[in-house]
Parts: sequence; structure tokens; C-alpha cells
Amino acid sequence: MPEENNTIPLTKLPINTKAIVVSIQNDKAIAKKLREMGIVKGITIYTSRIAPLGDPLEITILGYKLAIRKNHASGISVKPVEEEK
Amino acid sequence: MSAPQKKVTIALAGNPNVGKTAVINMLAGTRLKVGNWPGVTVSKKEAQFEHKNSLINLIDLPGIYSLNNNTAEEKITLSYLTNNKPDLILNIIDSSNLERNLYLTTQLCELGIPVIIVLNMYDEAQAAGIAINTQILEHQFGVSVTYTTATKESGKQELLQTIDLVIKKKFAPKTTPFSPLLQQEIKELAKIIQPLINTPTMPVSWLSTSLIEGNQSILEQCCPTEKNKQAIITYAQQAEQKFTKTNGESPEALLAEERYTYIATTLAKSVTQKKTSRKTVTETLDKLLLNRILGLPFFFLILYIVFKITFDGSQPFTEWIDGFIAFISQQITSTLGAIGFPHWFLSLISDGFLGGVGLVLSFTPLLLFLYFFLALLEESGYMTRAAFIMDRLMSSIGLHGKAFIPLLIGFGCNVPAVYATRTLETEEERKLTTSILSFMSCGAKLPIYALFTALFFPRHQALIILGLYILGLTVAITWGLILQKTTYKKKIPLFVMEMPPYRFPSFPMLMRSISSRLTHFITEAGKTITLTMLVLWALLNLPYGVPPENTILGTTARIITPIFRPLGFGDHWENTASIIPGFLAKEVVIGSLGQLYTAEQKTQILPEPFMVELANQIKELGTACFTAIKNIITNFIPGIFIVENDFSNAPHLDAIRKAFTPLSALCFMTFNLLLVSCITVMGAIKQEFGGKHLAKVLLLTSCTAYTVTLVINILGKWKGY
Repeated sequence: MPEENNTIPLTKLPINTKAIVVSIQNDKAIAKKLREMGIVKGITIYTSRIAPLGDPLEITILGYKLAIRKNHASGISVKPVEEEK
Repeated sequence: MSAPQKKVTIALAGNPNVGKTAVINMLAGTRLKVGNWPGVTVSKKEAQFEHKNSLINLIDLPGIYSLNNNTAEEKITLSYLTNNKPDLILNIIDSSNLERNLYLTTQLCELGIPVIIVLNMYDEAQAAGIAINTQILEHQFGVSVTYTTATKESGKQELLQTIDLVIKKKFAPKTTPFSPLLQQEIKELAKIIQPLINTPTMPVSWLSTSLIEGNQSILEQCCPTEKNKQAIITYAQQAEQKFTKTNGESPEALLAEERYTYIATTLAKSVTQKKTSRKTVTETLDKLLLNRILGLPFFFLILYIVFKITFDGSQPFTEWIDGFIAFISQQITSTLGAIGFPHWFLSLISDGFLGGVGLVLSFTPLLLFLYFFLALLEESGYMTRAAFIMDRLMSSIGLHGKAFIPLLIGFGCNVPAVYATRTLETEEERKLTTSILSFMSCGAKLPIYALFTALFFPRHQALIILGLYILGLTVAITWGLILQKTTYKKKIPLFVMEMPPYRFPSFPMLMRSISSRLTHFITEAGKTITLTMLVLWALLNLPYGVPPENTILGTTARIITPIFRPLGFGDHWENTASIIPGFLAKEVVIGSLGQLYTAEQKTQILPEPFMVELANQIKELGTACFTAIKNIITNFIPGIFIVENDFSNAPHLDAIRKAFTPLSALCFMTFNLLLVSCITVMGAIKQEFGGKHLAKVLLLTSCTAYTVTLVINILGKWKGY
């Protein structure tokens, strides 16, 4: 996989920072499940919370909240977007 | 002069947490029948009612996120919709979460079955400032759209009218306009499929699309031979590889992307949302309940309250039911005895049959409390938060965060814990959790530890008991890890869990769910438990009138006792014999040990006149209510964890002291610790998962109990005890 500009795994994205999903590189079944839940290329995503024990993450997509484990989240590459305040 | 009735089958489909149950309750009311889908612990709700000239048959399909066959719920839905072809699909949708909900809609629209989109929980969407233009939605998807707020019974008439209209007109929904690239791919696969299958009941383009999405199971119905099926699968795989190579993405991924793109463009045209700066209740609550520092204390506080009220609040009622059954039993036997029925028959009725019925009924207060709290946690949305908090810990032993609560309840009593596994997302996880549940030492096993530690380890009582609990946990974790690597390999799904907003549970719905689950326990598990009780009665009492050592139990125990010799406590048949009645309920072990060693005479208490006794029983019920409240508020430690230490008036202590050594006592405790708790839990497992899984659990626990005890005995002997 060539290094794309500004692309980071979702786990590295700071909390409450919006990003665009670039690609999902998990194994087939996980990628499929994530896509069904709405994590597809081009969608806006952000991590809204980390569980008290450090894992899983609560992410917000399509206006709803989804809990996923870090090892799945690390396969989701995102590109942070500059937010106008 | 009634017109001939037309039969119409309507299936309800939708995501989890969208209020499907409320919609079916609203439509069907009390006519709702709750059962299970065959072979799985997924509940099935059905209702039949007349409307206008039609006889409507409503079927509630399990809540799913997509029409692919990843989970048991999805498999049920997919196979129901393709094999039974309902006349109409009601697609229930959470109005404030349209985008993800409509993903399933795009898949449902491809089946060629008319679809009505029911925008449920419409009040929440309105409160959030969401305005939906239904005409655009109707036009884009080729469906009818209607609003409901089912918990408030609002929108029922409109929904029924829409149903009438759609039954008459049979609109065919529109499919998602995929890109030419995908359309080409779908068409080519369809061309290959067409000659290889029987006359299909489903559109061939749907078969093709679904196959690209990975659902090979759909071929089972329509392929005449295994060879044809393989040919199609091989072609599909090759096509997929080729597509992925040229386009850099699998056709399946592209399908999902294009579905979501289509939904986004449709919603851009049809939905407007007013910006609200107001924080939602969910955000505020989550800030507190999922707080990085306060989240865990809150979690344990909530669980403590649930545990305390469930076990301490139900216990006086359980005792009252025991007393009441004894009273009924007394009345029946004295009446039957007076007409001249033989003594063995009276014993069969009172100890066997009524004993079994009483056992089942005595669990109802506990289950009532537990079902209430489980439904409350589930409906309010806290159950997913609990899983979110505990997942880190549970994932380290390979389990889902949601497995924590059932396992914790197991320390109180395994019976409600079996039912609590329903909160888990898949059948496999429920089965896995139930398999290791028995190793969570239940409250009824505590009296055994209490007596034996008091007799043999008076100075290290707490330490030994704690050690036993830890041993149970260790065994559970070990088996949990082994089973996932073997039996349940690849079947345990991923932790991808929606966190729905907090909602106020609707009280009538809570009550309906509790009463239907309780009825099921009494009728379904009740049958198994009562039957087993009759068998146990025969073991313990036949041939009738002989001393304990000559009963079937005594004779068998004497024969099989050598098997237990390697475990350290097989020198006396009484020890073996006490284990079997232990299946009745673990607290019986101590009592039967006492009876077997002393063959004590039961003292007969002369009963009071009927009316006086009845009045007493009613008075006792009042006392039970009072005690329940007192139990809950006065003690800090749940009563189920309090060790009774007063054995001063037990006459059989000397006999037990002679029959065991400290090591064999430890072995006896370990053996009981790891064995299935009681026949009620067996009844519960059978009700939920069927006899086959129960047999597996029994085999697993018995072999484990034997092996672990053997190891402890050998180690103990080797160390010179």
C-alpha cells in the first residue's frame, strides 16, 4: 500500500476530530460488517469516546454511535478534515 | 354475506432498536403469540387478526442490519423472505437514524416484494428537528411511506390504511441504480445462473446481487444439483477476483458504497434538519455514565443494586412459595390418604410431582425480578453501555462485553443467568457463555463449602471458599478460550455494536415481555423439571419402603462409588449418593448427607384446620413482602453471599467428620463446584438451546469436575495430605 498524504489509522485520530474514510483494510468478514454499518469510503467519521478501560472506541457515523474495538479500528484509514469554526 | 376472506402475510423487518416490537404490539395487541424460531434462541412473534376483508398474518422477523447471512438473525430473515415470500414487508425504521436504517431498505427493495417504510419513533425525530418529505422517499424507493410512534399508539390507522392500499395495488419497489460497472457485473453473473437453476421464485438479478454480497446459501433452494451450485460459486469467485483486480475494489465493497451513496443523495433531497445547539439527554448521560473515571463506579453501583434487589427481594417470596406448596401438598395427601390411596402414591404425588411443580414455581419470583431488570437495562439502552465498559476485560478472555452480566448473575443463580444470555448477539456466543456458566459457583453451592470448611478447615474458611470461587473462574476462562479455538471457531462474531440513545422503557411493554417470558419458563422448562423430579423421586424412593442403602440410588451409588475412589471421597457410598439429589438443588447435598448418615426419622407435625392454615399462608405472604423490603434496605452484602455458620444442631456432623479427610473434603467441594448446579438450570438450558446442547454441557461439566478433582487429589496425596 502506497503511503497516502495525511492518511492515518482511525485509532490515531484525536477525539472529536472529523475525518473522511479512505479505505478499510481489515480481513474480509470484518470489512464487510463495518461497511454494512455504514463505514464506507468517503463517509465522515469521528471518534467520540474511549471506554473507561481504554478499549473499545465509540465512533460517530451517519448521525449514530457505534462501538468498535481498537484492533478493528486500526484497519480503517482516514483523512482528517479541517473544520471551520 | 361476508366476502371470502383473503389471506395476507405481512413480515416486519428492520434494524435492532427501532421499536419493531412496539409496532407489532400496536397492530396486534393481545393477539400476539411469542415463541422461538426453530432451533435457535431468537424469539419469534406472530399474530393473526382480521382487518376489513383480509385475514392478516403478521410475522416479526429478527432485528438485522443487512440482508446477508452473517448471523443467525440474518439467516432467519433471508431464508424466511426468500422461501415464504410474504405478500408485504413492513420495513420499520428509526426516523432519527434514517441513513443507516435505509441500507437494509435498499436490500429489501430488491426482493420484488411490496414494501412499506414505517418511519417509527417519529416523535423523537420531530423533537430533534428532523423533517422528512415522504413523497420523495416514496418516489425514490418505489414504496409507500407512513409515520408511527408505536409506543404511543400513534399512526396506527394511517398504517392500516396504507397496508390496505398496498395489498390492493401491489407496488413493486425500485432497486438501487448501481453504476454501469456493477450492473454489468450483476447481469453477467445472472446470465450464468439462469440456466443452472430451477424456475426461480426470486428475481434472477436479485440472486446475482445477493451472491456477489457473499450469500451462497441462497443457492441451496434453487439449485437442482450440487454440481450446478459449485459451478455457480466457482464462476462467482473468479468474476470477483477479476473485478477486484481491474477496479481495485471488490464488487461487494462497491455495492455497499453505492447503496450508501444513493441513500445520501436521496436524503439530501428529502430530509431537512434544523440545527439545535441543545445537548441531547443521551450525550449528557453518557458524559457521566461512560466517564473515564466515573464510568466504572457507576457501572458497579448499578449492577450492585440490580443484584441486591433481585436476589434479596425475591428470596422471601421464594420461601413463601415453598411453604405454600408444602401446605397444598399436605392438604392433597391428607385428603387422598383419607380415601385410602397407598402411601407410596401419596409420596409420589407430594414429593415427586408437587415437588417438581413447587421447584418450578419457587423460581418464579427470582426470574420475575431478573426479567424486570434485564428488560429495563435492555430497553433503556444501558445494556450496550455495560458491554462497552466491560468489553476490554471480557475480550482479554475472548468474550463479548455483553457476556459479563450473565456470568455475574451466575454467581447468584445459574437459572436466571441462562436466560440472561439472550442479551448476547449471536447463538454461538449464547451457547459458549452457557457452557462455562456452571463454573461460576452459584449461591446454592455455598452451604456445602460452609459446612465442609467449618468442619475441616476452621481456621482458613474464608481463604478456602475464595480459592474455590477463583478455581471456578479459572476453569471457566480456560474452557472459554479452548471452546473458541475449537467448537466455536470462526463463529464468534466481531464486536461491532450500535449504541442506541437512552430511552424511557414503556411500562406496558416491559410487563408484556416479563409475563410472556415467565409463562414460557413455567410451561417449557417446567415440563423438563417436573419430569426429572419424578425420575429422581424413583431413584430416591424405589423400591418403596426400603432403607436408603437399598433404594435404586443406594444400590447404584454402591456400584459406582469405586469410580469416585480416585477423587478421594469414594470410600463411602453415602458421599456418592448425596451428589445425585444435589442435582435437585445444590443446597440439598448437605441435607441428604445428613439423612443418609443418620437415616433420621421425619417428625410429623399435626396440621392446623384448613381455614386456619390458609389464613396463615396469606399472612405469610404479607410478611414476605415486608421481609423483601427489609432485606433490600438493611443489609449491605447480598444475602446469597452470606455464609451460614451455625451447624450446632446438625446431628450428622460426627458421621461426616469420620467419612472425610481434609483432602477428600476439598475434593468433594471441588467436585460439586464444577458440576452443573441443579435440574432447574438443566431445564432452562434445554428450553433455550435444546437437549443436544444440554447433553454437551452435562458432559463438559461432569468430565471437567472429575478431571480437576482427580488432579487435586493426586497433588494432595503427593504433597502428603
